[in-house]
Amino acid sequence: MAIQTKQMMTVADYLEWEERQEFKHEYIDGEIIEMTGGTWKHSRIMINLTLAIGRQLENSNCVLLNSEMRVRVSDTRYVYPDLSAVCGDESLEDEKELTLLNPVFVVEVISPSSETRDRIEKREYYYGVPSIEAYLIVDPDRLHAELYTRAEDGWRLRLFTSADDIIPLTMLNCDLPLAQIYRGLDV
Amino acid sequence: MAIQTKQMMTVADYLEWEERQEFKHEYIDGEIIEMTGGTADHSIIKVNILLCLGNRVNRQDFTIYNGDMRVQVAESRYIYPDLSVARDQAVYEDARELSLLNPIFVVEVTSPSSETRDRGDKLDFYSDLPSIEAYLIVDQERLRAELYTRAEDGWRLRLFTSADDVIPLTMLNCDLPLAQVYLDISFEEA
Repeated sequence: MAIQTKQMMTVADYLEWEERQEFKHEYIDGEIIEMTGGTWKHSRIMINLTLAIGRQLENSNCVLLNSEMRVRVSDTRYVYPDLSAVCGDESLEDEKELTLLNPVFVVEVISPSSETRDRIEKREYYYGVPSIEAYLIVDPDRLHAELYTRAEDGWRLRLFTSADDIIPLTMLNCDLPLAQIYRGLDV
Repeated sequence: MAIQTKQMMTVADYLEWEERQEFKHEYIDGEIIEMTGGTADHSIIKVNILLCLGNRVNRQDFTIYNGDMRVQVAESRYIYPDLSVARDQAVYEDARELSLLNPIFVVEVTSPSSETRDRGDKLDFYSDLPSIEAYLIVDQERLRAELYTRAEDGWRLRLFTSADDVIPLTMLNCDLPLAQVYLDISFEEA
């Protein structure tokens, strides 16, 4: 979830300024985008996803990161995915380890305010990061997940809309049942 | 473009009622969605695509429809794509040919009010209609087209954002240059 404001900043100023902020802000080509809180469903789904994927990564070389982890998607673009995962050695931009450079998997749980941005802008940003093999979009208001996996000339998209669907996260070597994402929610 | 209203109707009632309406309405699981007019750019882009396809697609093999052609995408869902194409024998639901059942290609030109729906709900609907081999979303506000082609277990997505890009519509045996799609459209520099 995000509120766009019209401040313009250099990358260096943003990185320095953001550290001192109470709230998270994304940075897109000079523009600062403030991250807001989320709804009950959004929060529940985040926890469900974290538990379902996290458990399966316990004995692997992959780790899951929550939305505190900033990801650099280009020289002038920094975003906070709702979830990201890294396999093997993590690559961080700075000594303070504030920015991840090499996620293999990112997740966005959409909200009415972020839906278009998640499907258009973020889908493009994430495609521009070669380490990202898959991008998962989850709709908290209906049984609906979109898995984008990297192909040579664009994303390959699979839709999951049925309660017995299982999302194959091959890059993490795990299977994510749709029912677990929406556990406890009436959608 | 659409405005959602909260009337609920049966399929039979909708089909009978809509024929008598002045404006088009989509029907999604009991709900009626009124179709509104569009901007000049929206209209020009649609005509550009129509002309381009009309000139390039073999009309012996394919039929091209504008936004007046209703498509039944599921038993309880009827929508009006901005443009549809059928191959060989078009199949209609009714003798009066009011609802097309087997388009192979559909196009939506996004507007701010439809953008979320075109990429969300409509992608789901078109996924459920197996005859549809490709779905093209054209952005009204910037040089940008998304081509979804059906793959074995989902969609393949290709993005076109450069004025020299050519969209390969292999299912129609034709190429659609992005420059043609946006002919006469100028974008304000962001």
